[in-house]
Amino acid sequence: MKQIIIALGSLSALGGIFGLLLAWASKKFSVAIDHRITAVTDLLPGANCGACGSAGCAAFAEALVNKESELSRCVACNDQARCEINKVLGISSLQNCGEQQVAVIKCGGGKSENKFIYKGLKDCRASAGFMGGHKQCEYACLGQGTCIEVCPFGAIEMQDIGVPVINPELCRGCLKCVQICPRNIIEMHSKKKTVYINCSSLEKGADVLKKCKSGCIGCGKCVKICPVGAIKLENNLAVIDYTKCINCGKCVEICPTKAIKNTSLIKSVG
Amino acid sequence: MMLSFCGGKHLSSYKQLTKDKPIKDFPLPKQVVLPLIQHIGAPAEVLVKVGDLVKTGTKIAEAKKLISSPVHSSISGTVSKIVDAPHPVLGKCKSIYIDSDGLDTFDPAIVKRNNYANLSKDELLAIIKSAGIVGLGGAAFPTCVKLNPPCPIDSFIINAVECEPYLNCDFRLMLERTEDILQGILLVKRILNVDNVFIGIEADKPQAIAVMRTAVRKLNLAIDVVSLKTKYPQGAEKQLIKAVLGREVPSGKLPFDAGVVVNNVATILSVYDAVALSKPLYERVITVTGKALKEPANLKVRIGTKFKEIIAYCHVGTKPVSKIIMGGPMMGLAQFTDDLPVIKGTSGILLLAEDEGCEFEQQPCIRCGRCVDVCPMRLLPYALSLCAQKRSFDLARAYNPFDCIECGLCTYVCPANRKIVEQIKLTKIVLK
Repeated sequence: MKQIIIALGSLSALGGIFGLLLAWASKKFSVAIDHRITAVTDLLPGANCGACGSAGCAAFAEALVNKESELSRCVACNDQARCEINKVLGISSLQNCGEQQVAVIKCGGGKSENKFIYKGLKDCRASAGFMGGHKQCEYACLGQGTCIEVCPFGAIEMQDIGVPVINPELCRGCLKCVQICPRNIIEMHSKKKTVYINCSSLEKGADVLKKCKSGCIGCGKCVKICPVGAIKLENNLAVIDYTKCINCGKCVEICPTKAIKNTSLIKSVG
Repeated sequence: MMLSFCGGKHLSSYKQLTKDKPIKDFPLPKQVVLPLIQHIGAPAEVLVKVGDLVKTGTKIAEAKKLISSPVHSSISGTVSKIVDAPHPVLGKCKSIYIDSDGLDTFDPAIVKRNNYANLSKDELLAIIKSAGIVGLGGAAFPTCVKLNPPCPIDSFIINAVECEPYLNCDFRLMLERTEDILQGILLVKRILNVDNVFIGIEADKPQAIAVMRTAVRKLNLAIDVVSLKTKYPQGAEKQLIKAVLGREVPSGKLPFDAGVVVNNVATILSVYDAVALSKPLYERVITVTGKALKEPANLKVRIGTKFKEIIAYCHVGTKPVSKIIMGGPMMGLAQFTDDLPVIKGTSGILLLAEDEGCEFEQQPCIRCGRCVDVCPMRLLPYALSLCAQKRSFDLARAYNPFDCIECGLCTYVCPANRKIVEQIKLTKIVLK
């Protein structure tokens, strides 16, 4: 009995001493944590894509809290999260926080006829390097699906017409497809403005029509119908100024070759 | 033991199709298409406008940059248009169309030069530059740049190997214009100021070796005619230097870093023509061959002649054509149309019959190492191919993809039918 009491007593004494030591150490060596950083990290998309220029979402959150970066540099964040992050950071307005950007592939393709049958590697970069690509139109999507391979979110799918489509709901705007496309026909635009020109050809209308049935022929009908004057023709191609665009969709209806598309309709496809 | 290099492979040559056919002049074409880029370097700049009258040999586009080459009219006639046209290498290129007047009147500047033995090095280089001479072996690098190396060199090798199967144009030139070639060699030797001159010929052309040796002996020249082992790619620059001199060109360096200049035998001949006859490069000899043709031939054609005219001249046989290739079967480029002009780098047109070309499904690599055995650059093609397949291009960098000369042997020997060269080409595109 005596031994048990001695063992119990000495162990509790030791426990007490170590407990006090730890309590003192935690006060003495404590590191101040800014709870805003963890809160912002949780709200960021967590894709760690690096498009903001920081090493990842946690590093970006720290930079935001320390006012070394701006929220507009994040392209993947959705609008709700942007409001929440602004609340955490104590910024009331939505100014400078940017809008969620999504990618679109600007080619109606499919109907663009082939110059020859390409039997090489299934990679757009290889295809573009051989005789300038197998499509007649030199702005056409080559359809080998390299963007599908690189998309980390599985947002890109191949359509029946041989041109991939990006689902705006899944796209987080990491720019990987934009950077890898050898034809440079993938473009970023605000997720809220759903209309876009589904063609990249800078050729004259007649030449476009010879090669493709779904290209922009530069007829200028959309320019005339746009109620806010947001569309203009540049090098035979219609260009939408998204700062003016009110997303009314009138240009989509008027376009004779159906070269203006609305991403809100893509959901049913993707 | 015959001189050669590590790796490589003896291929079926198919040279008997045109081996004994003398060079024929191809009839004057009605129209020629002259692309502004027929060489490595900056495009030439147009000197003429639509409607201008030009004569054979008139300069119609000038080289304004250091690494560039002028273009000359190959027939006399009228400039009909200057537009984008199909190009056998680039796919599309701005080209000058000339409609023939059927007279073939020569430019007055084309006269025989009698005093060419007294010309200085700089004068010779200027003549070569303004004659638009580029390497005729296929790469089409401007010759005047090559003959003016930035560091001292001690050897000059004439590449008369012609290791590509099917092609015979250099072989025929050696038999038919032996002495002119030797005069050309002497000119280049004077420009380079070297003592060691070699002519490398593969051992499967004993006729050419004998003819060259006799001519060298007759003129009492200090030129070594070297017989090389018949092995593809013996005619690749670095492999030729290794075989003839035993020197290795360091990775990422050029032949002149090893003190050597290598020139194709047809290029030497065009140097002679340019200097002695002041004739610019407006025609070249090509081999038109393949089992799909009834009458394969070695033809002297004007640059800019359409493939389809040449193919029609040689009569397509009863077998359906499966592929039109510019150049040889190993390194040549498959074409999707016959509406293409012959350019300076066109060494041949090859038409494969349907039963010759076959397609296979790519299978997984079985690590047999045959590609490693044959690779003339001693790379690990299977590793490069796997890196490209897994899209790990950063890993591929360690295997030196930029040393690959794209000879195509790895793909040729692969029992799993892997598209190894294509994958290495893709790696180069991505890492560039």
